[in-house]
Amino acid sequence: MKTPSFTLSFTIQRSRLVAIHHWFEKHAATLVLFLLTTFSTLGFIFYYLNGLGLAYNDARSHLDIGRRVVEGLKPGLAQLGSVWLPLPHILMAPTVWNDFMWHSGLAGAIQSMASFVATALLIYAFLRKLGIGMLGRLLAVAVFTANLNILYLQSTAMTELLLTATMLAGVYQLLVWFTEERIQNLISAGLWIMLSSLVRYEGWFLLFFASLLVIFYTWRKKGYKVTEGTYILFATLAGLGIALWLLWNALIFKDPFYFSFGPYSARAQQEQLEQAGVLATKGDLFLSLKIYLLALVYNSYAFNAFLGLLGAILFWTDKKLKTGVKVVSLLLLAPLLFNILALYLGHSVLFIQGVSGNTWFNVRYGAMMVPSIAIFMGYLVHRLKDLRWVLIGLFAFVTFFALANGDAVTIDDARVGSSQKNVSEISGYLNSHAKDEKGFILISAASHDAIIFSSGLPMKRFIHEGTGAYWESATTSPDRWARWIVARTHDDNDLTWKAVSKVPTFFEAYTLVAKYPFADVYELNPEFFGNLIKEPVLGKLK
Amino acid sequence: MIKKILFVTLYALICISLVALAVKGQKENPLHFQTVKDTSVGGPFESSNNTSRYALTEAIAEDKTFFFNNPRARFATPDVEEYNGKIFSIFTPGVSFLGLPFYFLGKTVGLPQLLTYSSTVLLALINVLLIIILARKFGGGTYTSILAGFLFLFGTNALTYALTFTQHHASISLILLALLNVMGERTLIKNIYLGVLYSAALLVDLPNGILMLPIIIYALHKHLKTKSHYENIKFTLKLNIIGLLIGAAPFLTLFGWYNYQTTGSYIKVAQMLGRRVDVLPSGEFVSRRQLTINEDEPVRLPFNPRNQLSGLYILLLSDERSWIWYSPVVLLGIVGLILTSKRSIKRSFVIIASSVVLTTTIAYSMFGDPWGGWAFGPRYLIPAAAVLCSGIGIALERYKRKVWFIIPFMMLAMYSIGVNVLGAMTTTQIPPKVEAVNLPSPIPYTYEYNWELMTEKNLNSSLFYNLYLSDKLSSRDFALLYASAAFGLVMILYLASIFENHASLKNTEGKGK
Repeated sequence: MKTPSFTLSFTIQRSRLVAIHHWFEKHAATLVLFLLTTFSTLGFIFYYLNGLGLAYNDARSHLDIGRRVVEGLKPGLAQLGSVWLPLPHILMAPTVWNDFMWHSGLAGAIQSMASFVATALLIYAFLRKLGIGMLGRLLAVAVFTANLNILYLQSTAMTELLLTATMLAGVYQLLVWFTEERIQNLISAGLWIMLSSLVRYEGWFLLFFASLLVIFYTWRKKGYKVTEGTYILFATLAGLGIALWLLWNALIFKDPFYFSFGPYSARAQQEQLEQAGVLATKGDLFLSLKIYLLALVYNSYAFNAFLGLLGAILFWTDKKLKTGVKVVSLLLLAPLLFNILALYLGHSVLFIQGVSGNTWFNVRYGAMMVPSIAIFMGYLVHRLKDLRWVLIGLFAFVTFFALANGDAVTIDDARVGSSQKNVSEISGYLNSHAKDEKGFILISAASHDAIIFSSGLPMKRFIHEGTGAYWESATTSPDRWARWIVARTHDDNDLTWKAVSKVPTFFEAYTLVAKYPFADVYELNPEFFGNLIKEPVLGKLK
Repeated sequence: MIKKILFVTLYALICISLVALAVKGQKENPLHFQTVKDTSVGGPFESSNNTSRYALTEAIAEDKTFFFNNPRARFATPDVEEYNGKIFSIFTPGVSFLGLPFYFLGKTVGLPQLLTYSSTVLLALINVLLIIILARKFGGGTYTSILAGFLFLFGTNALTYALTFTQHHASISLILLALLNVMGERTLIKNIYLGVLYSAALLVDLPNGILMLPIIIYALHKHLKTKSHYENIKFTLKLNIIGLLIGAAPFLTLFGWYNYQTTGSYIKVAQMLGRRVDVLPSGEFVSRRQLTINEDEPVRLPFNPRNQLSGLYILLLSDERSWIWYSPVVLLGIVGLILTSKRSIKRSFVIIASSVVLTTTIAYSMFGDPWGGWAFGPRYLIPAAAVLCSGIGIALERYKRKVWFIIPFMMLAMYSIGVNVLGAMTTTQIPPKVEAVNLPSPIPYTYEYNWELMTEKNLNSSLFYNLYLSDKLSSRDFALLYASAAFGLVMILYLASIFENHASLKNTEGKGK
């Protein structure tokens, strides 16, 4: 049966469509920048208002380190510390002096937010350089940005997104150098890799990996002489960060490898975990691989991870792509290789609920592969033309449910996993009892940075390991310096307890006034108030 | 030609007889299950996704109500919901509505259960036909396409679920009809028809709304045409797109009305509320509210990507439910779909069919219970299996003379038929591993349980067997004969296909646009 067919038609000049296309092609990156900046700001506000932005214990510690550089009993660059690399804290310094910027977490989050936008733009640029169409580029940007784990991390004072941005910028510049061979791109790559090496130790691995590729590729193409010069040029800048860090450790801590072997190093922590029998990945390559791949899958969502893998396979078997492009793109795997190696060697720890007991820990490390997965998915969608819309539709489907159900393993880790530390009770106690009273609080920052942060008190109220003479004086004569002492009773891993418990007058001078899960509060008895120093009298001494 | 028609007719009769031989029942006078609500293992009422739907059919037919009296509530529990003190089925009502005429017919002859369940058998047979049509459209030969349909029914858990009163076969019928509908030009009539199919699918099972989305999106997309004319590009939107809404309206209205009657809201579906009541043996119910999670928690949608990795493992690899363990022959359909996709004339259609497979798999991999509760094989993937089986016809058509293909094909077909006959002849009630190993008396969590029931307890759920053969043959021997007959039919079809002079695949390859 023939039925009448009604239609609605309109005509557009081809030239106008071409103009729109060109305009979009020209301004797409700007639009992405604008949209993602808005998106990023809204993300921060959302997590700030619901209080999750500071759920990670490490986020509060990062903010405290930054704050100690500008405020405290002994402010200065020496407060940058020895374990965590300094760039995130240096970047905080210009804003963290402001109490709102410090306590809202914005001083640290702002660099994560900028990195979020930058990484998305780098993904876009990377794919454009590979000749991927607009749809593939935008999908890749969406894969990265419409990921709740990434959106959450960009709203916190954590370091993962700053790392991904600097690493990807380095890899992108190397990609341009491999394809165009302009020396300024190599220098630029060196600069970004140097910056990444000052954010997290993954950056060191990237430097090593990138060095191998630069040497291998140049040697094959241009011989030894050129390789020597090229590599020196690259490594001088790229390795500068590491050299400076070693120098810093040598100057401040009298040991260039203090960050690695010192009492607060990851190695020392891992030794404790090993003694507790929970460092199962050490020496077990299969388990290390399994744990990291699970973290990767949970952070990127299984569907995206599988498509990313498929895209990677097609990418490296694509005969149309130049060898140089394929070689340099191996660097996108740097976080994967580094983390598996670190787990295997016992330098890192990562718990997956259901595999490593019933908790999460450091599962966010998997998020560092999300930009790589996004790039390979963008490539896949470009390559599989026929299935393009099916894949995009399924991606939208999975993403919708991820967002609607709030599926973010990083938030679970921060809220209920081992990466969280709810110190609201003890910090609330300090705030209500010490805020309007005079006197210092003796506390170990290495153990209780979260309490310092959450108390809402100024940094200069705390005597901690980084306060030099104050610390030395207070741990030998606490009743002269500390009105309150916060410590884990009977735990010698807590440096405050280790020191004050050996002081003969401690138990006579102090009363245990509050007992909480993470620490206890001792208060000086009134009869000792007479000798108590309540002002920062030591000035710049030592 | 006449020979071919005769062959196909004879074949269809044999196929119908074979399914009839597997229909569940027990001897008694009157036949067991017709008046007795026996929920024992192996019977038609062994699981609550059957009983809840059957109770609704019975309640409508007998008492003109959607609500359950105490005995029916007990019979249907735990798949029940409560609103305003009344108990009703947690499932969408499509299957129960569909069973109504069969129930009335059955009641007149004293076989209400048997006839009501035959609605699913009928749908299963229609599905075989639809797969044959689909395979033919993809370019399969007559016999290879029939073989594809046959393998769907006997080589997958479609056979097991053809003997139940569940949503699977009705869903497949509607999905396959919709797939066939989107081929070719869009007309108002076709749009109305597609709207009817989509809304009916929602009435049968809510997730069908998602599984059919690729088809609907494709249909919508086909209404927009672009045409180059010198320096201009003309965009045309066919307004007969409105037919989709017209077609969907009646069933959506019915669905809304049903929801209003049961949950007090046109859009609140019982299934979305969760099982909030327990019905006691007396038929009275107790609220589970205090046992459920904090109601202040945000609403969680049923699909969550966090489950996806384990879901994919369960559905695609595990010995608990996967195709690899239960119906590996289905996977050969992928070869067929890939072959078809290389023919540009069929490409877009194959892509839509594939997207149904992918959507089904991706959706249920995110589901909290990819096992489908106590079930036989990957029951949620039956619609995907139907589409993939149509691809088997193409793969066979291409490689039917290649030994390297035929030997593994025959082995996989034999294995798949064997496993699924085992399921059809015993029970669908296989627990997930996590439950099976934690039972007071642990039981196997694979089809090994079916084998145990068959060999150690001589259980056979076939009515025919229980009426006429139980004192002559062991359950195992009957199943063996049954599976041999089914595999014999596969062999006959294969041999017939060898002699069929079908060259459509070869001749049309690369033609058209």
